[in-house]
Amino acid sequence: MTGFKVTQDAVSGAITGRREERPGPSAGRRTSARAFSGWRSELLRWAVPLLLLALWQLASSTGWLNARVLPAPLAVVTAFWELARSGDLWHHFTISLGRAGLGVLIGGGLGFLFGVLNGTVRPAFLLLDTSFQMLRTIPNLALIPLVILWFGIGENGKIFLIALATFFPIYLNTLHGVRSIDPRLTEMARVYGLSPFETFRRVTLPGALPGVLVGLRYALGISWLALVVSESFGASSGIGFLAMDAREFFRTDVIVLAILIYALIGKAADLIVAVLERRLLPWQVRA
Amino acid sequence: MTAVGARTPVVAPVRAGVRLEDLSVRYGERTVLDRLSLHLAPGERVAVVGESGGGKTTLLRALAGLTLPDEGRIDLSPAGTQARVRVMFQEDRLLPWLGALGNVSLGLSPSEQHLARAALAGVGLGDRPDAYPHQLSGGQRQRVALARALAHRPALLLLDEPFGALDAMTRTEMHDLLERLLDDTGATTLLVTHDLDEALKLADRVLLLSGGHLTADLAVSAPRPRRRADLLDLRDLLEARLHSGAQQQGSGPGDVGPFQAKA
Repeated sequence: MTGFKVTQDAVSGAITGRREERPGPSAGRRTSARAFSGWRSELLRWAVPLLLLALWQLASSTGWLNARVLPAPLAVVTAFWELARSGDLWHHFTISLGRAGLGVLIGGGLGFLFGVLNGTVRPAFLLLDTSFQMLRTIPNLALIPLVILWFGIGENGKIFLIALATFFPIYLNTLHGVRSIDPRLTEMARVYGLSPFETFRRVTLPGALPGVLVGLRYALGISWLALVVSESFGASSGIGFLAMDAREFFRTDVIVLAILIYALIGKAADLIVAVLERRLLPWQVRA
Repeated sequence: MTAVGARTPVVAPVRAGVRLEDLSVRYGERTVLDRLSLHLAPGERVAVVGESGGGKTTLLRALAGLTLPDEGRIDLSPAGTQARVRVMFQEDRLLPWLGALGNVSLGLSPSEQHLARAALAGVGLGDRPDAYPHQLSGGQRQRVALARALAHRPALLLLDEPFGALDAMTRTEMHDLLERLLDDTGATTLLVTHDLDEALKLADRVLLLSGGHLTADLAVSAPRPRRRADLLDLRDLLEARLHSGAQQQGSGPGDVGPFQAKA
């Protein structure tokens, strides 16, 4: 029951920590809020993950946890260091990044174009949207046999899978962004002498941008998912290959390292979009 | 009809003359404007009052080219004036992603940017060119919207209940500001409002629109600036007419114009 108690404390600490930012809390609350502010609240936030990590290391060191099941945290760090020093990690990392980037560029670019087209031209919407919505429901994994037949096991198939997966989130969110623009603003643009192109550039596009960025956020997340799938068959390079190759040799430390890298890249992609949002949407009211 | 709001170089002020002949607008079964005829002299300031649904906004939208009439015609003179009609809407309709100056310069060419700056300064917001709409108060947003309309040096300025959503004090401020700016620009102005005081303070002529017909056409010649106390008699007349007009809806276009009063 002690574990439960720790969690509960951590939760209530986080809540009081947040409360501090609001103006005018009662005097008693202010004291407890100050006690859990700054580095103290950070410490509480990270207490559970750090504790788990320490337990994990302890279990591995004492031999209670078999390295074939899960390697010790320190072993993962060592694997990272070895692969980084040899240059292998960087090599596979850049290849994976390149695949994901190209896939997002193609899939996201097409998704954006069709989102704008279907959002502004009604006949195009009627003609295409139903088909896109049908294709959207096909799971990526189900396509792998076909993709191998079409493209072989080279790069094209991998990029195709990533492009296909990222097309839909950007398409859907762009479409929604364009369609949710206040028609009164477009009417205003007409009265103020803006040409259709200018109306698109100054009203439609900026109005749809928040939606597009939401789509990009999803697309980047999903691109890593598609990357894992596409690198798990017939790959001779990339982070996914690294993990698959390590499996052959029971190198669980490398497998865990690959998983961690995927997680970190996902988090980094999220951060990039958050920065983009702050840069591109300074006009949005932030809570 | 010519293209709505097509871009034309902003040149010396032009005052539009407006002639409506037998203008009818129907929404389905409902006749909103019923064979309406009206003439506005260049530079005239006209307010249109009347109960909701009486066709005020439809009249304004028809003049702006946003609603196509089912019958009748609208002539704006001189030729090419349709492109120089500007509307200030009830909502500010500012683009949230542009700052105040960016909104005012919308539709102006790069060589006309000084007009935007001047217009923004004219409404007292020259020191906040970069403020986004959400950083401005309701009154300030309407000032930006007014500056946007005036920066184009419109030949015909259409105001659709522009101060309806503002509190009483801000509204009074805006009336004084608008009066001053209209004196400067001299554009032909049509103001749609449900506020009789606003109509009497700002307009040379007050039209009462009821059931799609003009039921009164009242000249207001009191000297400016006008105080509310000077206008009470006119207000009473107008109010009485407004209520009787509401009772005898559909009395026909023959009812136009017998009501002339001078203050």
